[in-house]
Amino acid sequence: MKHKEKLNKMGKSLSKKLTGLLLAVLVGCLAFILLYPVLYMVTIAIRPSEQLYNPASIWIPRELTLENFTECIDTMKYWQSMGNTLSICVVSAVLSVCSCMLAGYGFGRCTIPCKNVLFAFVILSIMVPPQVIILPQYLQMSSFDFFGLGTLWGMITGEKAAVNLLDTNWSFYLPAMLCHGIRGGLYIFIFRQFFSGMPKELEESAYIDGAGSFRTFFRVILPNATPAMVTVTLFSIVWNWNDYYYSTMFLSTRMTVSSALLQLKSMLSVQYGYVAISDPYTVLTQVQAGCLLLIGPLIILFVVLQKHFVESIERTGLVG
Amino acid sequence: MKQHRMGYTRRKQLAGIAFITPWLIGCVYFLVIPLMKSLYYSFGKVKVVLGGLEWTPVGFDNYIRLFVQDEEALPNLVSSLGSMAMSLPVIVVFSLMIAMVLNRKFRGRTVVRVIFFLPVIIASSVALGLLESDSVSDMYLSGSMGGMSVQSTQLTNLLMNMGISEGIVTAISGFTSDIFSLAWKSGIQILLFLAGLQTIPPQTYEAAKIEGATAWQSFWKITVPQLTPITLLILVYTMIDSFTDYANPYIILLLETIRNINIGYASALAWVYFAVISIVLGAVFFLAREKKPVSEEVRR
Repeated sequence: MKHKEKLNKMGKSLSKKLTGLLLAVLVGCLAFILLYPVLYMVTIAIRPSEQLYNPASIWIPRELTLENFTECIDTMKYWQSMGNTLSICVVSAVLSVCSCMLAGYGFGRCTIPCKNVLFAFVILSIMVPPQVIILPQYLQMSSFDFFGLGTLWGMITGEKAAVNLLDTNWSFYLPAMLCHGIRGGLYIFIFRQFFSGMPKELEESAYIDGAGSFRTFFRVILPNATPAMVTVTLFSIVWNWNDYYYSTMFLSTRMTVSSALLQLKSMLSVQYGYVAISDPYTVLTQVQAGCLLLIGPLIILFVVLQKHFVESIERTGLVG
Repeated sequence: MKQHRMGYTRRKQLAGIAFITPWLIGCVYFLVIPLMKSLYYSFGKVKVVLGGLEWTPVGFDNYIRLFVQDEEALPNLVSSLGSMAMSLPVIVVFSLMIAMVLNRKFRGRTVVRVIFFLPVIIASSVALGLLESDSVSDMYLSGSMGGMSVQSTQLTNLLMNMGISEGIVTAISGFTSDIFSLAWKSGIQILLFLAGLQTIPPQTYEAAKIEGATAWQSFWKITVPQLTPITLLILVYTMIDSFTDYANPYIILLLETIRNINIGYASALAWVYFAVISIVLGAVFFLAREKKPVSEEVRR
């Protein structure tokens, strides 16, 4: 009898180990697929461009060099573009997270007249490709009239009050502040779904204690929303960082890292003369170095932030 | 007593409106007004002139052109809808599976999570375009990187040499390339599911285990219901994402029209697209509402 039990147990642990192995193989294969492009970037970026054709070295080049990176940093004006990107990206991300969290809470938890109709507009804002409304938006930014107040002022005094926001960071901050930064609608949706998944008892006990809506939000809801906040902050930083459409549209004199990388090929061609245009491989190593310079900081950021995904497990003990 | 209650609900309503006020202002200014302008453009011929736009009315001409004359627009729209319907369930199930695996505790989890985050970074980046236009990368990826799909020719050759019939080989290599593009398309979904899984307190699972629930049971009785709001989010996001994907033929047509500065017709294309996707999304929300009394309660 005891023997049988033991055998049973052994079988169970064996099948557990097998599942573990199977999962490891699956995850390993997928991880390799996803890592492929990055490996490619690295192996190309660390070799001198003469070594590109060397058939003897496919993955590990014979000679190693960091010249591609230094050259790229010079051409892209990397540190300057990085400063521009950071100032836009970090502030917009913080503003987006704050405004979208409030809106998400409103949609997920509060009684609002015509809520479903209003929420349809949130979904609409995710659906609209930026290219469709960029023209009217560009015109709005070029003469921002303080939401019509400037025009109203113009009717009274005869002189329309408007400022040109193009080429300033405000053309990013302003939409972010009002939940309409890059993919703002999606952040509202994420927060709404997270908040509506929380147990109702959380708020009710706070209300019974006599806390108002805002106090409840800051004291009870916010501390429980860490996973959602980390997720949205991460997305927001990544998408602001990667954005080149709005930054080439709204900024004409300054470059972000993304828009610099977009122009890198043509800038390098100018540097090398016309040789580069007839032979695209000359600049290839630098271009891949540039790609790494663009995605590198984001990877580091994720490594730092991903700990919070894990930590939040222990923190959610409150719920229930 | 009743008076007091009225005051309470009204106060709660006011608080709710206060929470969404920033969004409301932004929505009117950055969404509704530009959209109305594009609707207005769609009923005319728009010319870019110095210092603004010139608009001449043409009535429904742009829409008639779309539905009757344009040979690409409608077939493209249908094929976009078809590919969306095909990929939607696969992406959702796949990303849930991966998220559950990544949510487990194992050695090297940090590294694996970073790797699974790569698609989120690269897919929206300039780097992707540069990688795709890079002809040397073909040599490395032993196939085409176009549209992020690797045709693993080496694998195909290997299998053929082993004497496996061609039909099976094509099926297998098709499957591997599907997995590749699937993994690339699911980055955001995996992260969202992961964040959703984090909100489920581990005590719930422990309690279920003590009660004698199997892993399968606790998946259906705990994980699935707790993830319902996130699943709805992911469904909607995936649909919109596959619709606004730059590989989508309808979007290609739309962007091409914009690039040719044919603003009137581009606006008409955009509005037809809004109408179609709104109907589809409306249906999803309707179904989700019918089936889940939980969300009914929350909306109250």
